[in-house]
Amino acid sequence: MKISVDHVTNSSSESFGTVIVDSIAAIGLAIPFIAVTMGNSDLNKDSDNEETSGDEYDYEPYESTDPSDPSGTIIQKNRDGSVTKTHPDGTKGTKMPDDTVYVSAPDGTTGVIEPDGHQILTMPDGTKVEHYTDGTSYAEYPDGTSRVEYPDGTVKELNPQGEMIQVNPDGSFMVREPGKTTSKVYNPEGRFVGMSDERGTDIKVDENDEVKGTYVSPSGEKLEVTGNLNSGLVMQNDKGTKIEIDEDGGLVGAMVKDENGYLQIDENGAIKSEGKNPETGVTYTLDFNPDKGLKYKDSNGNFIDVDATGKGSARVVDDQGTLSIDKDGRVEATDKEGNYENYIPNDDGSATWESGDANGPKVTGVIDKEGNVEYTATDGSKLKITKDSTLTITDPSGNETSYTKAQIDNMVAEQKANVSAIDDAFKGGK
Amino acid sequence: MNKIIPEAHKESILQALQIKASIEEKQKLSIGNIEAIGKLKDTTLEAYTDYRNLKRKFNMAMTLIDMFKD
Repeated sequence: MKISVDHVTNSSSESFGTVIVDSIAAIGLAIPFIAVTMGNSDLNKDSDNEETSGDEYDYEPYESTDPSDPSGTIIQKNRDGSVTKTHPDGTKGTKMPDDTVYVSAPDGTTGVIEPDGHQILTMPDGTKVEHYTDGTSYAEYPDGTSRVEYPDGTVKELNPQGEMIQVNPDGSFMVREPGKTTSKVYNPEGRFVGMSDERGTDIKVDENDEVKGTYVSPSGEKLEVTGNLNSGLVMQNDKGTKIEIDEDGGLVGAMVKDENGYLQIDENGAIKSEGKNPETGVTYTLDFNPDKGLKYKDSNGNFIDVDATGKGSARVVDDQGTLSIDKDGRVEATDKEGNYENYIPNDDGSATWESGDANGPKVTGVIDKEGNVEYTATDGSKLKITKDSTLTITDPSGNETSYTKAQIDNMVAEQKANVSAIDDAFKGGK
Repeated sequence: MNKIIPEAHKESILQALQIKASIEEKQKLSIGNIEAIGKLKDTTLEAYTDYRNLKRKFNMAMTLIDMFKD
């Protein structure tokens, strides 16, 4: 896109109000550039001699005397000391007493050029552009893409999905995928040649797909990477951490070690780990095998001992309370206030569920083999919830009312909307 | 058919849904569900700094390895 306006000169031969829009041919979207010069401020000195006309503005429109501009530019001196030039094609520039210039073009482009040359522009499609005095340009496009062009020719672009692309002056480029902090590096021909990031990661891939370099994790730990993309990679450090993958990216084995413990994972996904919390001194051991089950225990007496299906026993204490499971499938959960829930399997395949507090049971229910739940509420009502979520309420008088899942879902949605509205009202500062 | 649910029943229904969810959660643990048990492990081990650190280091390395695979 290129718009050029014939510039006119005033009597002192200074260009004034030139507006040129030119697109820079570069990879991806280009940042539109507007070069505007408003000339010198000699014209402002005439404002002292203006006659007051009683109109809102004192102005003396006149044709340009520049023979190279026969169509004429209208110059308007404004009461506030600014001077506006309107060019034959409709582009306009207004220079303020402090040398700030406001510009507009017939296509809808508007902007301001600060006295130091910094430009802030808005294009007709909503693109916002800034040109800084050091030569850097920045653009933000309506779709959310942002782009920076540096004086050395480096271009960085961030798209709405979070992907960042950087093109270097030599034609090489880097791509950082959404959610990642390390970028993949490509040479000008598009070959994958390594990885890098701002933490110091520097991994190179040569023309034979040999890999060598250092990866620096977000926590600052360094791992040396070696291998070949076609046969497998190894990442390791001098503290005993070693992770191996095969040519398909499958895990061959992993050992992650630090001064407090280790975590070992094999190619089948079996996990062994032992460690110690340096802050509390609590120690733990963990042994998980997808075919055999999970064994965990720690020095606080917590343990999990279940087979591959999850059947077994456990005792877990966390900030919500205590949960225990015995080998018969009895589950007991107690919170820190003494409220409890017990689930007790019965011989006929059903189970009893009991909820209470420190004073004893409050609600007792049964879940049958089909998964239907029945219980008696504290007010004496009996509730039955079928496996497909149909609910029947029988009040103490014996009146029975049933609700379908759809009716219940609508009611829940309505409740959530009401709660959300109340939350918003509180956030409004009431 | 759109049935208006009386206010008196709404609370009972919400409580029933909570009870049903809680029962189902306990039932999973009772009959054996490795995924539910696995969540217990993470809840417990979350309190223990070193396992979490070790797991995070492993995950970070695997994230990098994923990038090689693309």
